[in-house]
Amino acid sequence: MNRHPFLPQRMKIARIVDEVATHDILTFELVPLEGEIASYLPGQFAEISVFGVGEAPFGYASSPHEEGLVRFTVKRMGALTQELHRLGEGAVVGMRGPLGNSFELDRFRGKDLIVVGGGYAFTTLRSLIAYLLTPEHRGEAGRITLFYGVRNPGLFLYKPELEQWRDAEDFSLHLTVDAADEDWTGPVALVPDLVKEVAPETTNAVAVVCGPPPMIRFTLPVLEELGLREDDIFISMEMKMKCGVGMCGRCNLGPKFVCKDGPVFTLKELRELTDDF
Amino acid sequence: MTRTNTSDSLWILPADALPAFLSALAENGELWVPVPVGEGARFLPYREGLPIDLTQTPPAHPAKSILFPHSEVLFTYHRGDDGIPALTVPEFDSRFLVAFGVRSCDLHAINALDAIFLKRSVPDTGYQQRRERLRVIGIACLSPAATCFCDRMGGGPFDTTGMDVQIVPFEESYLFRILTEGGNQLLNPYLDYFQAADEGAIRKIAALEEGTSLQTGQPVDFEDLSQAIKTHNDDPYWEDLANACLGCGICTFVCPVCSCFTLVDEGTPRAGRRVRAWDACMFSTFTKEASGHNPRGAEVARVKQRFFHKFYYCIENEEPPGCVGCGRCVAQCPTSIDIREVIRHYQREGT
Repeated sequence: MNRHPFLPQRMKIARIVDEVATHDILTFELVPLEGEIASYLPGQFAEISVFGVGEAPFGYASSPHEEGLVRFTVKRMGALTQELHRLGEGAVVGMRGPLGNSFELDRFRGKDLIVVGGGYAFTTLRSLIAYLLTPEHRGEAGRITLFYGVRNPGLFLYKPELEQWRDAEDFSLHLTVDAADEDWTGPVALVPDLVKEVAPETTNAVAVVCGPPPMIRFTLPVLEELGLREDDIFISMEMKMKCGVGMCGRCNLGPKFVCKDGPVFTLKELRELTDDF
Repeated sequence: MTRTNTSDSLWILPADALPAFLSALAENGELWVPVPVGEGARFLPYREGLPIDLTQTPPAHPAKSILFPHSEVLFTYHRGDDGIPALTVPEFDSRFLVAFGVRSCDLHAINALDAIFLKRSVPDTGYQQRRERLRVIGIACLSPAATCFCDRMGGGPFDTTGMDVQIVPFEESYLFRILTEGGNQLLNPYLDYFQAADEGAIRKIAALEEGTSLQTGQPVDFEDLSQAIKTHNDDPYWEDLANACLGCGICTFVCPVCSCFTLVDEGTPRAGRRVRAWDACMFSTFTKEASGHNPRGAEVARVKQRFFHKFYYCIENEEPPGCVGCGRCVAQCPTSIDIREVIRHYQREGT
């Protein structure tokens, strides 16, 4: 059979994790029905198929060191995610990936890392942090400071793992919510305000930002005020995509394609591409 | 421009022998010809008795559909009793694929399509196999339309770029000019249908070529145009165009370069197929996300996307420009949006 760039690999849903109190975000653990999992890096994405419905892009939530499986965290949103959420463990879906660039791990080497995430877009940051916290990769970055905000405490993804990260060395975790519940003891603050208050050291740091557009918009000036250069701020972008290989024409920001040239861009690059930053 | 000279291999086919020649050719491969459909002409697979229109300049529908079909099955899926979907990719044809009666504009467009489907990232396998099988019997344009401006975009009525054979309509016959070894191999088995061109015929055709001119302006300086458009992002001119645009997308469908597509599943959860189909950046749903967010929700953003892509993004990415001067969008836009006016608007004086 001819292989072509649009033919997905068949993957079995090995496990489904219900992530949040509202039950509309599920993590799908996929194992290949045939072949191997193609090697990937944090920040890359794949097109996930539900046969008969279509395809949509999702960032890898798993880290490459987790062998034999991949994970995608999916919010119920449109037609495809609706159907994906109806599938049970054992069902077979399609996967095309990895697609896109990744976080520029070489640029993080020897640097402190400030990671700023919000809402459901945290998935790709989980891949990055889990990767950098493995013993064989921990030396690739210095101190990691993570800011992660959601609307309310029930909406944090990967809660058991967040708890483990609290004890990690050279790692500080700053969780925040827009609105607390009775059990919440952490800060109630918008992500940009918390970043400003904590004011992590930036002399030898780079930052990674991924989240809803308003969070990104208000966080960027804070990071720049703290002393980060626009070349040291990395942003993972999202756009509607179909092909994932720079052909279908949807996801361009100016002359660059988010699917092929991104999804990770520096703030400097984004400022050259669009007026939105 | 290639001038007729006696070192070319030149053959004459009487017009009444054309159907027999095409039928013979079609026995050994896939043959696409321009067929009158309604008021336009479109490229369709040849079969005996099909009318052929070699006069429409250019055919209303572009030849891109030969390499980039309007819809193409990428794979089929079928779930057995175990519920596991089996995926099957359609077999590719391995015979030659002849595009007959294609004009210079559409052949220049293939350079742009190659950049997208073969060079931009991974090669698109379906496009690649058709491209490798492609042999082109192009046709010279003796009567360019009022909307033609290929002469400003790198082509010309007698330009032979991308052709293995060029035909020139000539009295009650066609001159076939073999230009490549591929063209030679293609025609060689069928030379019984032809007569060798004599000196008189060659002189008459050379005169035809001399007499056919298209002089719509100076060749466009694409670097210059690209910079001008890049630096006029907020020009009110784009709003003027957006106000005129209906968002119907006809400009993209008739464009030989436009190649935006969508991927859709057709079928039931049990069995069906994934299809690639033409789509258009002029539709508001093209970039609309599941959340409702739409980065190009405004008409002006879509109008800019069309022209920025053609004249700025392509050049910036070192790909061929997204316009070859076929004039189809000019002829077919219901509100007379004219890409030549856009070029004029941003070309510096004196160029």
